[in-house]
Amino acid sequence: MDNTALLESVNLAVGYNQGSSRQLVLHSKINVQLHRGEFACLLGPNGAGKSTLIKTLSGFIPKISGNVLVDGTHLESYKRNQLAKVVSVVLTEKLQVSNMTVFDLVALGRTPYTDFFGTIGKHDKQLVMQAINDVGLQGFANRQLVCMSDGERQKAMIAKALVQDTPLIILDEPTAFLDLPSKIEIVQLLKKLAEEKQKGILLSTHDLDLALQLADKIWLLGQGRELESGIPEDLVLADGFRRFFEKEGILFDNERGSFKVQQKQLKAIRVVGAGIEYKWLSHALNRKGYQTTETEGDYPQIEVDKEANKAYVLHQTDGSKHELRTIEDLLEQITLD
Amino acid sequence: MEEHRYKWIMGFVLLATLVLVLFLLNIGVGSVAIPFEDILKVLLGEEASRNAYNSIILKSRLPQTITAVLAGAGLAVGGLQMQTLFRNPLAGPSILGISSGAGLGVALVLLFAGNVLGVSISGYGLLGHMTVVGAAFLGAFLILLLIVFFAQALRDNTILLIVGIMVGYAASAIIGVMKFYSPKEDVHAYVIWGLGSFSNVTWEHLIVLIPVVLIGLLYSLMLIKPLNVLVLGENYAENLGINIKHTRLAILFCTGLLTASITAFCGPIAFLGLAVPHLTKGLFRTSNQKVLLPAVIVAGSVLALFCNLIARLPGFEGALPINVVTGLIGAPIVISVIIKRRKLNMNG
Repeated sequence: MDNTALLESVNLAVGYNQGSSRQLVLHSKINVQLHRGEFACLLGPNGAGKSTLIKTLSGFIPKISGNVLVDGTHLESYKRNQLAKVVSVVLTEKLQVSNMTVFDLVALGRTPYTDFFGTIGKHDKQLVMQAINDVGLQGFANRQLVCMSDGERQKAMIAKALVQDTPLIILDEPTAFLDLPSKIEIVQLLKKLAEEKQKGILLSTHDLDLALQLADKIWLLGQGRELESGIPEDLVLADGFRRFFEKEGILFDNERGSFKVQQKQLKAIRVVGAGIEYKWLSHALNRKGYQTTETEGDYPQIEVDKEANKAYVLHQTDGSKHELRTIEDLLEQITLD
Repeated sequence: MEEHRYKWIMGFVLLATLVLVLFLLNIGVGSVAIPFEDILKVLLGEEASRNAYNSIILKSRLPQTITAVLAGAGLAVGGLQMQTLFRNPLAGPSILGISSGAGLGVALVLLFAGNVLGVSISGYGLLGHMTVVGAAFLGAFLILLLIVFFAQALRDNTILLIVGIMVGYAASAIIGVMKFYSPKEDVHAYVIWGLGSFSNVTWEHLIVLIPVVLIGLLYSLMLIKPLNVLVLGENYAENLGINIKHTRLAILFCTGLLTASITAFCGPIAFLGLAVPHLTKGLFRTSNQKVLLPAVIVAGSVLALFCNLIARLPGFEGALPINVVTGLIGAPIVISVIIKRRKLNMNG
């Protein structure tokens, strides 16, 4: 296997040139690598500079200092048309072009290869149809973009990136305005494409859960911190997520791999039982501000018995006993007393 | 895609037929009706049955009809380019103040000369008319240069659009001041110029207008590929290897050349450039500039010929300026097309 990284940054600093002499440096000392067949997710809170980094890596804005190497060659030494054959992008922006079909859109991905008038030849046509199938839009070739969902449209943009035939695909929050199922679909698709087509794919996103489950590498970018990269599991174990997403009232649960909203838990309650009902009952009680425990004490108790008709049995401190069918009824009963 | 191709070919056949029919009608219809046979005879270089027909067709109607074809085609291309570049359906060829620049040039000649130098250009016949054309062209081109200068400095298209519109306002304001201090006759001459006309263009003018418009149209055909990619927005276009700055300048220059030359000879023709791309998109249902650009060239000619025909119908002859017709006839057509498309989109 080729050992040169597809995308590599060496002591890269990114930011904006403001006027002739002033520079706003957002991040420096960025050292990351992306290899063929690898799917990396760039994670970070809003305003951390994800977009600036993505724009710099895809050649939209100049770097401040350091180096970006694409396939072993300095990014800025690529000619415009050469770069178009090495890096393709998918962006957040919603595309609304009336009368444009999926085929038209995807075919534009062939621009770096077509002649002076942009003629789409037989070979191009095959590639376009192949890419439309690859992203799961079979039968959509003649569909108008305006008649498609946001998720389908972004899939078409990914097909555009595929026919651009670049080893590297960079996506700047392409799932930002999509609903959850579409997000999952798109991220799964990217993971699959990276593996099957041996492409290097970099995705910037807010979706931590998805990134944790599907990314080969995670790049964590926080405001005023150095970028940390690694495989998801190592980052979790090194407390990376917890440090990067620290905010009052929010805690990254290293065991579950997701965020937990911290609530003030004042009242104690004892829960006895097992199984999925037990788990969700604890969830509901935590949400309502109860501290659940298994030890006995001077507080209400709940028994979970999933075999019984009424699964939840509540023993109040005054000795009264209620049998309830749903968690909702139970919560109501607790607050009543 | 094959079914599309069939639709597109039918569209072109339809438009080409319309151009031919309207071309002949424009020559035949007017205060003096000329029989079809005589039209063909004169166009083929033979003598018509009556001597007067020869001179009416060759001296007046033929140059006017050719002008309509050129103006319609050129302005429509300008409109399509501006709408695509700025990704704004309200843009037209004069959106960047180019026709206001022409107006400023004309106002300087008609009003300023009359006021300060005491010469009334409007009374000088052909020589006066050539001066007006020259001034309009100069004014339009100066504004174009100004816009190109801004385009090099500004990266954002929306800001460029706003700057262009502001330049137009400024030019109009200066014209307003000059109008205020000018004698009635000169203001009237300016107003007449502002209403637009295809009939003031003579063969001497066409020697200039034909090659300039043809150059502009050929140039626009060379911009098909970048224009197609620009539909995706500047970021995607840049990533696909398009040089945004060069492309933008080329497009501005192309539209500017067409608009400046046509406005100089015909006055500011409103509406055509804005409306034709919408009508064409409604007919061809594609975003592919390879189809759209040739289509707006033909459709622009059709609409200009149609408006010119209405303006010259017996009874109206000379009474209806072209801008009145383009607005009155064109606006309802465009509204109906847009509403129809909206409905289709919603149902689809």
